[in-house]
Amino acid sequence: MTRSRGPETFEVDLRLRVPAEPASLATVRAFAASAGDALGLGPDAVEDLKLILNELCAGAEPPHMFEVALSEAADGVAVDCVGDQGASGPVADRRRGILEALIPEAVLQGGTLSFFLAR
Amino acid sequence: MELSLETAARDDWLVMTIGGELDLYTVTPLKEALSAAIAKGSSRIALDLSGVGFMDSSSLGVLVVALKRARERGGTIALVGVEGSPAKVLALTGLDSAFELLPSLDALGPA
Repeated sequence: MTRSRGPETFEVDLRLRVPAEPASLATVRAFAASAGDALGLGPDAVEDLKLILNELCAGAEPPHMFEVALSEAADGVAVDCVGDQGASGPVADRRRGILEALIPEAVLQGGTLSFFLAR
Repeated sequence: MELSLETAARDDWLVMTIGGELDLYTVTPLKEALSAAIAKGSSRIALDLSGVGFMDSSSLGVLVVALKRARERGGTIALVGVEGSPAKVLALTGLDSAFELLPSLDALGPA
């Protein structure tokens, strides 16, 4: 997405790459809060983004990296995420339930989960 | 963000007041405190979540395990002051009906 600033234009594309480990979760949430706000998401959508990215990072396992890219899209934010290793168990089931409720139209393709959050 | 955890007795409840953000990384002290309290015989435990700004599925899992262990001993786990992120996670997982939800510590009885 290209954003105008006077006669100039610039791309809005925010990325984070951190080790897929529990110690990264606070960083992931801080990124979600600041990037979501910068891309124009409202408070409720930012809170959803924090929870979504937290759950996706928590579902990833070392030594993998958790990667997320946010870009401006029409009426919202497009998110591409790599990291969740598809763990199983009660906690993973709860995590999956939260994600399915918040982003039911998410698409997993080639290890990348893509979804859209409306403003 | 570090988790703060304070424990006090109130009537026949053990009250744990939690502050900060609850996730897979920060939940360990709460997990250990709940386990120790239940092992020592406390089965009526109230968790004051009014100071919790974020809660994820991993920390919810810790609460579910504690609830199961408390119920096995004839007790319960009450969640106090549940709003915002904790309320959302409980609702999304359908576990808001599993716990006793109280608006404030006053609902427990005399201090």
